[in-house]
Amino acid sequence: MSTKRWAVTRYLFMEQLQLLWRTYAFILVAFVILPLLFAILTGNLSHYSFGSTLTDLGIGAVFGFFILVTMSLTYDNFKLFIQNGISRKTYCQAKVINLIGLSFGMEIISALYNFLVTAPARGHSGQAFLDTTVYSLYDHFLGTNLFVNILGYMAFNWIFFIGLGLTGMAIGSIFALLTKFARNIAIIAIPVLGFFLLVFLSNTSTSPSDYNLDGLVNFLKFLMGYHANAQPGYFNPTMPMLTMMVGCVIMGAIAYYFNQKLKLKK
Amino acid sequence: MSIQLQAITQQFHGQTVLDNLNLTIEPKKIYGLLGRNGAGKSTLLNIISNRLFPTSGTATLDGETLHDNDQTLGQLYLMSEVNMYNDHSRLKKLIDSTALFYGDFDRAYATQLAAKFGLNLTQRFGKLSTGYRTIFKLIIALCVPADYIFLDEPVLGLDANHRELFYQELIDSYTNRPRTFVISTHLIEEIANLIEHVFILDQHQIIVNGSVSDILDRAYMITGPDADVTAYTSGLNIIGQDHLGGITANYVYGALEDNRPIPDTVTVERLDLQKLFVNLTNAKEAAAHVN
Repeated sequence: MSTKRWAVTRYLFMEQLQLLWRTYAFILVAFVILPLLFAILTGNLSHYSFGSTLTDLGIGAVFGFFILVTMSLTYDNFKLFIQNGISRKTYCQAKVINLIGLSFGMEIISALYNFLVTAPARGHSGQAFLDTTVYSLYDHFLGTNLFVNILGYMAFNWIFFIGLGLTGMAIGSIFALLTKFARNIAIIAIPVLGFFLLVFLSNTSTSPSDYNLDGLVNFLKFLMGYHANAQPGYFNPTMPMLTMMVGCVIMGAIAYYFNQKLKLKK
Repeated sequence: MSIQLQAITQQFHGQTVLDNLNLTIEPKKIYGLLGRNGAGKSTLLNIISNRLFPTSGTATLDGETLHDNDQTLGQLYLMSEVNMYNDHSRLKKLIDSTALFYGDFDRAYATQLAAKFGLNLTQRFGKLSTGYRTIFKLIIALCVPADYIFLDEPVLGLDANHRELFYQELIDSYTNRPRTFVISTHLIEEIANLIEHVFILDQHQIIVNGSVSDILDRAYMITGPDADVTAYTSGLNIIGQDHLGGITANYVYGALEDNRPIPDTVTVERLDLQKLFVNLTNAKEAAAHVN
């Protein structure tokens, strides 16, 4: 890795770690400490379970949200880097390296937390815990070896986090090119258009129409890993993983393309 | 080894800001980039530092593109009016990040300069006044190990004492480590003795490009009674005029005719850089006067 790329990656990593630390500190205060104080003040301490509150934190979900948001922050870092003679290409590459590394680290921490803290606290076995996650559709496909299933679950989540981060990067790169006015319009218009699209889709699926969506439904099932008569738990996880990887490549390409267009706004 | 701009054109919303501009910036020289408000000086510097994309044309350093190239971009530094740093960042942290990205950053000199200017490096960038933001950016510019330093309005918001201090530090820094400085400013008189070479940007083009001494050797103020001055300057490249009572001053840019006798009533003096600039860029037809 070139010196510059290494320097930018290290800088971004340290920035992300600091933000991540603050995010979890905020979550801890908001969802553990404050409810505890509230329970003490209202005399309902008997209804408060420190253990269950701590085990319900969902640190993986928090990280998913975190990586989506922080990866979308583009323009301020672009200004800093171009001021310091760093190219757009290096900035983008360092961001992706950082995303892959941080996601990997956080997925390991999240898995350790889930299987060593949350699952025992809830009285679940490792396999039973897997059955409560999104990966429950796939958690028997690789056999009965729990370790292998956990590895599959971790790989699934890792790719998902990378996809979320790349989506954030793509959105952030596009928004960084817009003026403040255009950005505000987009923030309002996109959810409204999305709502109308949903209404349109739900109407077409509930009322008789000229559209035959069977092909689309079968394709979506295929992407999800459904195969002939497969029961939930026995879906093939390779398909959604490949689908997510293709999504990652598309989002990465969009992020890179728009990142190359970044320029000073004033 | 030099920065080369070839056929640079920049348009914003159909309006031409720079028109087919060619320029060479050589190493270890101090340049002045002069132009009126809106002439395109900042745009030009932003194109060189790859913060903006030109509509057409190329910018290279030693034959290598400056577009999206860490190697070439790392050899230059642009201190601009626009604040490129995050308001929440502390100055010490910004110095750390500059040192991380550029390498070989002169921290000792930065600390020394901060003390001289009375700048507390534990402050946040956003809390600084306009003057102190400029001072901070100047400190970085003087300490960064780049070979080409571009200073866009380097004394914006600085009081006279701080301006003096900056010019002195610039000279000292240049003496200790010769490198290229390109200074874009409206305070021409203050930098006139500092710069070796000047670019004057007007009407979207470079209308003057040469060493300051050569240029000033060709710039004259010819004063005397109106009729005598008019007769003496007839056929010369008159770039401006002033009248006071019956006395006329004609500003001439270009060689005088050696065989033309100077009347006793007429005096010929050299123009200073600011007066030359004002006269060259005052009229819309200024470019027509430039040889």
